[in-house]
Amino acid sequence: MSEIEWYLDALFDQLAGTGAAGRRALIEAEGHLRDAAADAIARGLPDDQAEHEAVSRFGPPVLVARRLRSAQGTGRFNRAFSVAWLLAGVAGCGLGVAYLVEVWWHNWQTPACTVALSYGCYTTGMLVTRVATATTIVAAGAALLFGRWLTVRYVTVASSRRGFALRSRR
Amino acid sequence: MNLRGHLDLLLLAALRDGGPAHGYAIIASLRERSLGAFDLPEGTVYPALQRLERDGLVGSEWDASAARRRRVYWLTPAGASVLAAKRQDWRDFARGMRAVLGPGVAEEFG
Repeated sequence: MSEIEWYLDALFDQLAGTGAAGRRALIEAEGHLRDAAADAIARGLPDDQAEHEAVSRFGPPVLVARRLRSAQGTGRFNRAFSVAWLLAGVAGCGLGVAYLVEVWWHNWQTPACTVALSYGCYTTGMLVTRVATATTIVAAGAALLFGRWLTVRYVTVASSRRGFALRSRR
Repeated sequence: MNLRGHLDLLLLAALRDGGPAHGYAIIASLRERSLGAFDLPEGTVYPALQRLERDGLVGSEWDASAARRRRVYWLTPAGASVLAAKRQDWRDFARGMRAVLGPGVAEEFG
């Protein structure tokens, strides 16, 4: 893969969630980089050095994407919304798993019984209810995370800052 | 040289003097006219152009006549007015700086 293509892939990742403005920026970036590389080759540079110079002069993808979000005027809101969404999903999963562990631990520590006794043992019905509740919370958290992932990938709502995006990067 | 805060003025001036142009040509023009002093991350020019367009100071459209799709930008009448106002601000600023820094600077930089 050429350095320009690598750069465009990285810029595409950074521009996730910027919609038409990001798509336009990506087209312009590719045209710019290929023009710059062609000019450098015309000056006598080898292909790889010409591409490296073009990419270096263009600036880091994260900077270009940040300026674009800023120019759109919605970057801060999108980022806050996206992070809140992410935190809600992680919190849901964490809470559900913690509840499951607590139910398992409590059940392991206390003997089984057929009715709820004063010392706190779980009946089968209570155990099933608690496990179902915990599983539902985990599922809700996972659904939030999956919904966010889809939104970041396909819709112009959630921003995708490196470190927060729930998507594979190559 | 840090151009933050001045990039809009430079872009508007480049479009006024050079006429409609695509991003790469605008950047090349700025680099050439500044004798290489304005060495900015070139990718940041495109968001700035989009912002200027959103504010109605430049217009743009795709030029399909070239082998590669290019977005061509031009100065709008509103952009020309803003450019004139910013030029006046810059003249006032430069006059003040010369007055403070002394006649030697004024002679050196005209």
